[in-house]
Amino acid sequence: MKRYYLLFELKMLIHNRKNWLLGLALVLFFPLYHGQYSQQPIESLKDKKNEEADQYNSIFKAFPEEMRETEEGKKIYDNLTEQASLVNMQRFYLWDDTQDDDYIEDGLRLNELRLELHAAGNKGVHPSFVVSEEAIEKELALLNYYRAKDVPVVSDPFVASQYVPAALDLISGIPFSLFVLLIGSTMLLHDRLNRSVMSGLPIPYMQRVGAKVGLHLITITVFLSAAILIGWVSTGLKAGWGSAVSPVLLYSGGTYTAVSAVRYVLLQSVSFLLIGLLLLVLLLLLQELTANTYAAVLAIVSLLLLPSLLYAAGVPPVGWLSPLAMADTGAVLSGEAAIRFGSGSMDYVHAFFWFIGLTLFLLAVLYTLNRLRYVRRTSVQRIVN
Amino acid sequence: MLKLTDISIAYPGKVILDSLTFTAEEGEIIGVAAPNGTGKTTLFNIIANYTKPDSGQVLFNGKYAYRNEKEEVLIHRQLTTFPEQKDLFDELSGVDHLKLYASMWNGSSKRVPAIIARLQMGHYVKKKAKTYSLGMRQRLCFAMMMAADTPVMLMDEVMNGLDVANVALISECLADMKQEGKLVFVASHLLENLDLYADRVIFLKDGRIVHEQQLTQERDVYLKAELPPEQYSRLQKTGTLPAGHLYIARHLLCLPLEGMVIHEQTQWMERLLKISSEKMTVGPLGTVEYYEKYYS
Repeated sequence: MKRYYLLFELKMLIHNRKNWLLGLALVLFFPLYHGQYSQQPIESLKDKKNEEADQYNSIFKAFPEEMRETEEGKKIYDNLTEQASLVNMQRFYLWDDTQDDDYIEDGLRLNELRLELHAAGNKGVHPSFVVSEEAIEKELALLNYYRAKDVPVVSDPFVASQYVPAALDLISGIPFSLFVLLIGSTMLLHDRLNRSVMSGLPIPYMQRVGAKVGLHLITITVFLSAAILIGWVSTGLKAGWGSAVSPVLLYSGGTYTAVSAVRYVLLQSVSFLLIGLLLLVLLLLLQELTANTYAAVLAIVSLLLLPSLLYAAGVPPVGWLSPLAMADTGAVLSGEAAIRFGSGSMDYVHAFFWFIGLTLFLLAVLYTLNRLRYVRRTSVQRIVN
Repeated sequence: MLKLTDISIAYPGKVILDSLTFTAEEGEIIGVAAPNGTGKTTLFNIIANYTKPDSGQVLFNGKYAYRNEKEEVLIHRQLTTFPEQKDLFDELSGVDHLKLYASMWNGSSKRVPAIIARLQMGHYVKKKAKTYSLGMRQRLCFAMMMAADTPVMLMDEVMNGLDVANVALISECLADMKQEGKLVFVASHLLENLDLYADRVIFLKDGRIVHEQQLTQERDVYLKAELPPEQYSRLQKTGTLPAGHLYIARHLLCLPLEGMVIHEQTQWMERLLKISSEKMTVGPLGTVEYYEKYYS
């Protein structure tokens, strides 16, 4: 019976024009957004290194003269001198593709020196010129990845392998959540509009829930996969394919690592599916409780916007909001969420556990509510009798 | 097979069902007659557990009573309710609807072509439901019940929007269902039609069954004549009207023939022929007459 019910729900899903329209919008987003993305001023590695080199002039100018007389000050000054030299050498190496190894070696040494300065308390360095430990970690992660995977250091930021992860980051959070909520908004529609046809079907409630949520999740997966595939192909044909192993920074376990673009896209997709599952179950629960789809969608969107609204209002981040903030999976993977909430545990592994845990909790609530309907009914009958 | 015990339900200011107790067995067609708003649909909804009664119990096959979801699913595997026309899926074809019901209850849609042929739906059943007329939709709803083929069927307003030929067709199908041993509840405003296939008809009033008309057992025979109220008053004044006579809805005089000798029966026929302008009939009281008796 469950199979026939699934087939029927699938048929209803296929007949739903709204879902096709939303799917089409998602699929078209990737090729269309590339036009705008490619116009953005993205800082190249050469620009970045030139800027760094310029900063050293200011650093030396601002270095206190009296410190240079001390042993400690001399050491720091030498450190900064070596850093400036290494940055300038890196600028030179960037002109020649064959000198990527030298660039990496110098980069590793440069960040080692920066860390030494941090250990010494960055004495004599004006705070505005101190390279943060976070930035050092990011650069080290990238340099180690370049060396391990033998990937070119300089890459075009507009090729498919660079663009697709960036586009996925852009739609994560509220845009993707809205997409899920709009697709899921009609989950219970025919159970209500076609009540006398549907209500007597001999199938348990949780099986209905499973069929509806499962099929809608599959729909979202299909649209998302199609969007990524079409986005990758269209960008590849237009601006170049890039390399599937080109690095993307990933925040995990309180530190940064570089992973391949393909792995990042896979992780982002898994995040989308888990958040999609959570939102579908939450939407179903709220629709059951409020009997109003608009109210349910509005409540969830408000809930998801809450961390950003409070942050914008200057309210310090509170712990219980962090699971809500994790809905922006792009911010979680990039580490932005962890910085904003000052919590090293806001990485993708914790986010996955939260999504799965909350989904199971909501399913348990749905199950309990359904059980309570019968318990209440039996007790009412007992009291009256 | 189905036992309702002390079912009561009331909405603010109105009692819909009041301690209703009722038993039904397989192979029966039970008509439910009552004006709109007197609890027919509520009764069906309670039997199917779509509405929770304030008190009382629905017992199915002597053991299942909607105590938990498992029991509800077990009962719903044995019971279907008549879909409302407005609830059909506009974008799906009649075949889709039939396949849904056939497969959900029987795990197969093998019987669907035979049902389509039986109900003469072949010319439209593959089109989308939104193109159907009222009668076509009604036939589809009935066909869905046939496709589900459950031992118990609750059919609310089954003849709505059907022409004479289709009423006859559905009536034949109902008679066949009875032969197959199904328990069918039929609520219909075509009261005369109920007499053709129902085993008994229950009349609901003020939340209770005020009368249960047995159509398969031997019934009292009446001499029935249309009579205006003033003529009836005159007859009453003569004091000759037999005990047990009925004057229904201020227009129909029914005289029980049981206990009258032939001579008396002839006399009454002659008397009534003189004063009654309409036709005169002899026979048991039908559903229409009982309906008028209780609701006029």
